Amino acid sequence: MRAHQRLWRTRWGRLTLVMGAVALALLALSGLAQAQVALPEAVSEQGDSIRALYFLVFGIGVAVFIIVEAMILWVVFRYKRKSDDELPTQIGHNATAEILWTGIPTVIVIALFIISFFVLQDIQAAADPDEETVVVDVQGRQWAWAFNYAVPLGTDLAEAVSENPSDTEIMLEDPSLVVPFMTLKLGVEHMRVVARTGDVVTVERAVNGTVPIRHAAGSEVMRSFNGTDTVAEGRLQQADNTPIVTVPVGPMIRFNIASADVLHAFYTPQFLTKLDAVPGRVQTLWVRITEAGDFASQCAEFCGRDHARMIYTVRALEPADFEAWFADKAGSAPEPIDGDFGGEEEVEQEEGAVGNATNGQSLFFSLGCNVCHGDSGEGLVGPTIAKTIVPLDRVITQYREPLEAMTAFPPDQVSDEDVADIYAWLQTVPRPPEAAVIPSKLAELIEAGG
Amino acid sequence: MATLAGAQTTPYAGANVWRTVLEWLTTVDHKKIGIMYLWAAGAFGLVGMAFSLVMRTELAQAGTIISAETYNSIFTMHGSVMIFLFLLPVGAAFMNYSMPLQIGALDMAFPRINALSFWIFLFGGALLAMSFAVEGGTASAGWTAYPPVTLDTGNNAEPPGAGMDMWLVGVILLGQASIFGSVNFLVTIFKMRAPGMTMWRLPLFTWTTLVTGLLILLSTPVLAAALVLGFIDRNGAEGAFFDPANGGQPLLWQNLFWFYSHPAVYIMILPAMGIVSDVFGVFTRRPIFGYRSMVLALVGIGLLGFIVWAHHMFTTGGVFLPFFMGATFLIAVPTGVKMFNWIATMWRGSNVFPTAMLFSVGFLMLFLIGGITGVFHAAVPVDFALHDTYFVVGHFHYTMSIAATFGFLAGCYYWFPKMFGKFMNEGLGKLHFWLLFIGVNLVFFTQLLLGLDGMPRRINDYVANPGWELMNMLITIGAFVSAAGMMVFLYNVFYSLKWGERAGSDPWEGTTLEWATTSPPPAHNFDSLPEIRSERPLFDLRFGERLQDDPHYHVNNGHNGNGHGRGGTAQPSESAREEG
Ligand code: HEM
Ligand SMILES: [Cu+2]
Ligand SMILES: [Cu+2]
Repeated sequence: MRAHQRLWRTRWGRLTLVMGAVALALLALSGLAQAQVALPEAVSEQGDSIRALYFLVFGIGVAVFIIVEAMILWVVFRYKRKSDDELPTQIGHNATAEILWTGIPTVIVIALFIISFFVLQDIQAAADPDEETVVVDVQGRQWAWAFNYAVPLGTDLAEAVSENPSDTEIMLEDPSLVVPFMTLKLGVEHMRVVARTGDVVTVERAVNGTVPIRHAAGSEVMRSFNGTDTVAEGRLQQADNTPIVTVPVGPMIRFNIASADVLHAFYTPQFLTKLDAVPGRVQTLWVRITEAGDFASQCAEFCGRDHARMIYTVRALEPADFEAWFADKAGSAPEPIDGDFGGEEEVEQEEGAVGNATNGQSLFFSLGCNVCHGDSGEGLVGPTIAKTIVPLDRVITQYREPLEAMTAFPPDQVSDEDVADIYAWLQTVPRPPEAAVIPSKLAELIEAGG
Repeated sequence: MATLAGAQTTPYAGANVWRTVLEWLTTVDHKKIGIMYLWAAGAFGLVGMAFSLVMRTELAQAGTIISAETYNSIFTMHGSVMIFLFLLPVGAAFMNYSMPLQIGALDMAFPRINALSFWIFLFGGALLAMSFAVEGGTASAGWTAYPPVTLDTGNNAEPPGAGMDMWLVGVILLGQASIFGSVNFLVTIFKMRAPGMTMWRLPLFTWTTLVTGLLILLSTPVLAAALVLGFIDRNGAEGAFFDPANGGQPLLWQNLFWFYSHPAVYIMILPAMGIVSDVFGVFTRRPIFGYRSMVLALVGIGLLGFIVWAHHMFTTGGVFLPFFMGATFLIAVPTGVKMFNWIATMWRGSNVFPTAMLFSVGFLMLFLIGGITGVFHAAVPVDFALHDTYFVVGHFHYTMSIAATFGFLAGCYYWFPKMFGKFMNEGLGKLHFWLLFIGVNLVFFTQLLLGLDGMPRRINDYVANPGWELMNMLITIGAFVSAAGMMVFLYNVFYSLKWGERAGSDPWEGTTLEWATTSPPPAHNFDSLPEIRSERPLFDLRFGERLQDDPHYHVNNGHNGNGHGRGGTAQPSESAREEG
C-alpha cells in the first residue's frame, strides 16, 4: 500500500501504473467481449473439437499472460534506482529458477502437443467405410467457386485408363449412356465427354484441375453435375451472386478440394477449419455438420485481383430437404443418343456452316453465355466451348433442355438460327491449350535442349 | 580510466559539403556504413508505414476507395518494404555500427565487402521502388509471392507484369547484400576480437549478431534458389517449376520460401533481442541474468528455427503435421527462457527508465503477446481455424514487426549519443513511446480479435457486418495514432541532431566497449581499451573495486574453472587479432 503511494509520486511509477492499466484494460476488454475472444460457435463435429482445443490453449495462454505480465509490471514497478551510487545485487543465475522456467514450459508444450495430436487425428479421421457419405467436389478458380456432385452413371470402366493425360480414350461397359457435355467422374478425377466413336469415348482429362490418375478396369463411373446454386444477396460490392454449396446435416461430408488455376482456400469460419485448393492436387476435408443454416464463407488464400470477392455460402439442409434438393439437381439420366458424335469429320462438316459469326458474337455476350463459358468460350464454371466439336443439332438441344446447370433458352428467346450464329462464331475463336500439359514443360525443355 | 575521457574531433566534420558527401559515398568505415544503413532503412520504414496507412484507410469501412489492383500492390509492397528494406537492414545497421565496437575491433574483417553489401542493398531497394513505374505496376502477390498467381502461365487470369520480375531480382540482390553482411559479421566476430574478449565475454548483442549471421548464411541461399527458379519460371520455363499446369509444384516454392523466411523472422528479431539485453544490463546495473542460458537459448532458437518452416503451410495439405507441430511447440521453450531471464535481470535491479529502457520494457510486453499467440498457431487444429486470418497478422506483427521495431527504437535511443555525440530528447521520446505503445496495441490486439471472428487477411473489402466494421475502424484509428508517434520520433531525430544535449563518451554508464571510446568514435574506433575480464568490462572498471567482496559478483561470469570471485588477469583470446 505504501509502496504503491510512493511509486505514484514518481513520474516513472505513474507511467508504470498506466502501463499496467492499459494491459488490464486489454484483458478486461477481452473478458467483456466474450464472444470475440473465442472462435465462432462451431456448426460441425470437427469444429467442436477444434473449439475445445482452442479454449484449452486460450486458457493456458491467458494464465501465462497474466503471470508473466504481472512479473514484468512487478519488476518495473518495484525496483527503482534510489540513489546514484546504489549498486544492486549481482546475482546472475539461479539454477532452481532456471530449471523451473525451462522445465514447466517444456511440460506444458509437450502436453499441448499430445492433446493437439489427438484432436488432429480426430478431426482428420475419414468416415467409416460403411457409412453413407456425401461427396462434394469443390473447385476454386479465379474468382468463383463451383460445387459438383455425382451420381452413378450405371456402368463401369471396361478397360483400365492410364495416368498418362494424353490417354483420353476410355472404354465403358455401356458406352451408350454418355452424351456430349457430360462430365464423368472416376475416383476424384473429372473427365468431360467430347466424342464417341463406336465403343470408344473420347474425353478431356484434368477438367477439374486434377492430376490424371490411373483407373483400373471395373471402376465405377459416375456422372458429375454442377450443383452450385446462387443467391443474389449482394453481400459484398461487385460480388452480387454468392455461390452456394448445399450439404446435409448429419452424414459425413467429404469435400474434395481442387483448383483450376492458382491457390485458393476453402474456408468456412463456422467449421473452424480451412484447406487450401492447390492446383494439381485433390485434397480431402471431412466435415460432419450439426446444425442447419446458411454459413458465410470465403476464399482464404490470396488468389489475385478479386480474392476478396471469392465469397460463398454453405447451406446445410435437414437430410430430407437435402435428398429432395439433390434429386432435383441430379435430374434423370440424359436421353441417350444413337450413333457417334463429336469426332474430327463432323467438325469438318460443320465448318463454314450457316450462320453469321458477327451476330453470334454479340448474342454470346448479350445472352450472358460469357459469364459461365468465358469471354472467348474458354470455359469458366461452364465447359470450354471454343471450337466445339459437338454437332450443331446437339448444341440446339442443349439450349432447349440443358444438361447440368445451364439456363434453358426456349426458341422464342433464342431461335435455331441464333444458335447457329453463335455456333459459327464459336468456330472462329481459338481453342485454349489443354489445362494440364503433363509430362512437364520442364521435361520438354530439357529434351529440346538435348 | 583514461579511455573514458579524451574527446575526439568528429570524424565526419568535412571541410566542405562535397568532400563530406564523397567521403560518405566512398567510405568503408563500419560506423558510417551502419549509419547509412540506418538512414536508408529508416526512410524505407516510413514509406512502408505510409503504405500501411493507405491500407488502413481503405479498410476503415466496408466498401472500396482504391481499386483491388492498387490495394494488392500496396499490401505487397508494405510487407516487402518492411521486411526486406526496413527490418533486415535496420538490424544490419546496428550490427554494423555496434558489433565491431563491442568486441574492440578496428573495423569489420572485410570493410570493402561491407560497403559493397550496403550499395547492393540500396540498388535492390531502388529496383523495388522503380517497379511502381513499370506497366502493370509492382508485384502484387504478397511478400510471400506464392505461385502460380505470380506467373504468367497456365490459367492465371491477371498475370503480373515486369514488376514481378523486378521484385524477384530485387529480393535476390537484397539477399546477396545480407549474405555479404553475414560473412563479414561472422569473420569479424571470430577473428577480430580484442585481447581478452573471449566468446563467453561477448556482449549479448554481439552474440545475437553471431547467431543472426549464421541464420542468414545458411538460409538466404535457399531463398535465392527459390527466387531464381521463380524468375526462370516467368522467363522461359513457363511455370515448369511452380505451375502444375506445366508439371511444376506450387508447394515447392512454399517449402523453399519458408525454409528461408522462418529463420528470417529470427534474423529480424534476434538483433532486437540483443539490443534490449544490452539495454537491460546497463539500466539495471545488473548482470544479464543467465548469460549463458541466454546464449544457449539463442542457439536453440536458431537451430529449431530450421526445422519449423512448414508450420506456415499447415493448411496446404502437403505437410507432415505432427513433426512440424512438435518442433514449433518446442520453440516456445527457449523463447520463454529469454523472457524470464530479462525479467530476472530487472528483478532487484537498480532500474532507471530512460526512453531506451521504456522501449525495451515495451518490447517484452509486445513480444509476450506475440509468443503466446504463436502457441495458438502451433496447435495445428487451432491453426486450421486461424491461418490466413487477421489473427496471423496480429501474431506476426506482435513478434517480428512491432516487438522488433520496439527493440530497434530502443537501439536508436540507446546508441544515438554514441553515433552523433548528442542525446535524443527524452520528453519527445516518452511521448513517442506512449503514442506508439497505445497505437500498436489498438491495431494488433484488435486484429487478433478480428481474426478469431474469421476475417481473412489480404482482402481489400469485407462484408459489412457491424463487428468487423467497428474493429476495422479501431485498427485504423490505432494505425494513425502509431503514425503520429512515429512523426514525433522523426521530429525528435532532427531536433536532437541540431539541438540535442551533448553526450560524453559514456552517457549511460554503459557496460560494453562501445562506451570506452569517444562519441562519435574516431575512424580507428579506439585509442586504448580497458582490460576485458567479463562481458561487462566497463562495469568492472566502474564498480569492480566496490563489489570486490560481493560473493555474487563474478568477472568472467564465474563459470571459468575457479568459479566465484574475481577472475585472473585478461587472457588474450587466441583468435583475437593484434591491436594496430
Ligand atoms: C512462441 C514462439 C512462436 C511460435 C510457436 C510461432 C508459431 C507460428 C506459426 C505456427 C505460424 C503460422 C501461422 C499461420 O500462418 O497459420 C506463425 C506465423 C508467423 N510467425 Fe510465429 N511463432 C512464434 C514466434 C514468432 C516470432 C518470434 C516471430 C518473429 C520474430 C514470428 C513471426 C511469424 C511470422 C512473420 C508469421 C507469418 C508470416 C506470414 O504468413 O506472412 N513468430 N508463427
Ligand atoms: Cu482467394
Ligand atoms: Cu515461422
